[in-house]
Amino acid sequence: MKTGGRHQANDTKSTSISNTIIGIHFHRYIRTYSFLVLLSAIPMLLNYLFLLYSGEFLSAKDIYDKQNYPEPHEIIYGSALFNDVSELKLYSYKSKKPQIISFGSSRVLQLRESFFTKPFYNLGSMASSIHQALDVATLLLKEHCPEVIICGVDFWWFNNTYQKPDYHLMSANIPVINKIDPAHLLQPFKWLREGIISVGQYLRFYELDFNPNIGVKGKIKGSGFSSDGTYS
Amino acid sequence: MLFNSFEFIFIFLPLLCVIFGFFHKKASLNVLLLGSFVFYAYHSISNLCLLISSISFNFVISKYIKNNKLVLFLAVSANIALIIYFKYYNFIAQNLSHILAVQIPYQDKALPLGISFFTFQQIAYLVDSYYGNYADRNFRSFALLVSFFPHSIAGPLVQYKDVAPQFAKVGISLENLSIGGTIFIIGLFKKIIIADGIAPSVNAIFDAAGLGIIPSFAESWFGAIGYTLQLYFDFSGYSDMAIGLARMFNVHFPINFNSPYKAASIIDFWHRWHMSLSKFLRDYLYIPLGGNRHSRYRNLLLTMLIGGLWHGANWTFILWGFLHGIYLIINHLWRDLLKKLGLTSNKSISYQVLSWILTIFCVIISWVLFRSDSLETAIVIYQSMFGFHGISVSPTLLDIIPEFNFINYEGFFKNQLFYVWDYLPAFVSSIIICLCLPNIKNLFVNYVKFEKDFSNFNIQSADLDTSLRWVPSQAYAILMAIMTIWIILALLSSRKIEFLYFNF
Repeated sequence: MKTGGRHQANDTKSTSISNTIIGIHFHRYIRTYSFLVLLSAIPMLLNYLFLLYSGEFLSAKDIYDKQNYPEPHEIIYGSALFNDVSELKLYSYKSKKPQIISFGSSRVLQLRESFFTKPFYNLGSMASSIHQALDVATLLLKEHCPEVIICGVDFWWFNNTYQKPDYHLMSANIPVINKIDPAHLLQPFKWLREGIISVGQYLRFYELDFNPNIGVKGKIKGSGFSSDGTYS
Repeated sequence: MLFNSFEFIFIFLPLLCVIFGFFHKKASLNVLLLGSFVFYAYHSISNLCLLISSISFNFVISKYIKNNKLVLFLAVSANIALIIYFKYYNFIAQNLSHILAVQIPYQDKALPLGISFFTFQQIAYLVDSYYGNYADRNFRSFALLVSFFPHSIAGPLVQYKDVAPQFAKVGISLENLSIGGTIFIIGLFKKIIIADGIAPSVNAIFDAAGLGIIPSFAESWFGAIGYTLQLYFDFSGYSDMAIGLARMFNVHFPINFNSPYKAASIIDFWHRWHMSLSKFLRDYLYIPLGGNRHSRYRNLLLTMLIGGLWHGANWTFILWGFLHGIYLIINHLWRDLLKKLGLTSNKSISYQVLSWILTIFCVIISWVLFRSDSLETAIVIYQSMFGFHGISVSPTLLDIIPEFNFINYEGFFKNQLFYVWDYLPAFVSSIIICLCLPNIKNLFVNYVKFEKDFSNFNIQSADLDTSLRWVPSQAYAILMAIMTIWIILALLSSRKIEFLYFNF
């Protein structure tokens, strides 16, 4: 009986030891995991705040509202992350319903609202091939029919062998303006390395809020799209 | 509140864990119940009232149901009436209007979230109560079983007798958090990185087909295979998250997906795909209809038709169910034929490979119906898949094989609905993951009682890959941290895509 009792005591002791060891494993597992996640979160959070304060995460509607309310004013949208601003241009076109538009490649971007006496919007850089131009035109006319359309096309569009490699059917898939890719959160590091932004600008991200322009390019370089769709 | 939302991951779940940890065991069950109600009410408070009314009604009526067929019939009918009213009314009205040439008004009601799941969950409870399985009825346990937030919206379907006893042992510990949290992260990764990563390409193809754009041969196959992968990673990811969340509170849920795309027959596929629904349909529909004893094939077809209809009020779902019913009948006939010929033991590698190819082909074909918004869209995709709209290939192939100049050389993806190279890595890696890597059951077999209630299922032990089994090691901690960071970055990056099974 005594031996059995000793065995039982030994068993209880060994179970308790193995539970403690298991507990240590789980404790270490959670500690390592939490440490790594928190460690990586700090620089990402700084990058995220930098992009957030620069207005890179604003939607097409937010940008349009900032540029046009209470009345159209000179606020530049210059994103350093998104080259394709079709969503913003389409949204602005739908909202403004202009009587005159210029439409085509980036070469029509110089036409400004001040050149005209009637409401005007510049839809330049939305097309880079004849197929894309037709596709975008169909999309635009579905929404609203302006009185005058100034079309800017490049002569090579009419060359049969020319096919823009990255063309996608606009009516089926309009790129979302604030669709941030995870890789975008690493971009501020790249800009720092290339000297596009300074360490001071990066760390004083909260000061970006004082600049009315939108986007890193808009706030830092003052370049981007105006409320009439032109690029400056 | 979606499992893949910031408010769930960073507010609801941590807050619930902290509050849960503060209370004594008995009170902590109330915390879980209240938390589950809050989780459900986040979608709609009126739907929460519906859920609580449904739970109360079923609990009260279950007291008088034992061996009383009339009460059982009335109670089950009431549940089915509820689901018909919310889910199938417009479908029935639309079809009756068409057949009778009269205008039946539609109703503009949103489908209460998870109604298909919580109704089926309670029907199972009623039937089990009829057979007198539950003497120890407890309202709190029953209410928690139905509304428990990990599974209230999209399953897995569980039985009272399996889960209610576990409520006595709920608790939070480092072990529970590590195991449950890891399973949750794996599920989240499957949903956010893999399923949502493929989704835009699949949506582009099916949406374009719906708009009347004819997809090319390659595009249609890309769409069909892409959806096959998306649905699996989306729904199995959700199930893994549910299992992980429940495990965080020391509740073990049964496994819902056991690598279904490794199945080498349709029968095997249904033993691996949405296993809790398969079990429900078998126990509460197929067997009461007569099971294998009489009119086996009729029962099988009827069960699959109802299974199809359960997924949604659309002819595409009914046809999907019908197709799988036919598949199963053919599979059973083939098995019987082999048995008669004494060829059951002949399982050569080439036979198994051919069986797998045929099975996955049939499954992919059926998912086109499942994904399509209408029969017309499905037909357009099928026509392209089988070359009725011609076969379009890359112009560069013309130089390599000039003899095939009768083929259309406008490019594999001639409609250019998306950039193929953006999706190809996710596409290929997801195929490798679902065919070559172990699933949750294989990884956590030592830590979760997955098979407790699935002893009748023929889960092949050959699947168990012991070398990759999860242990609370530093290596796994690093891997999980990398996956978490990846998930957070992706969460920051994209708009939330709802779980596909939220629609059912």
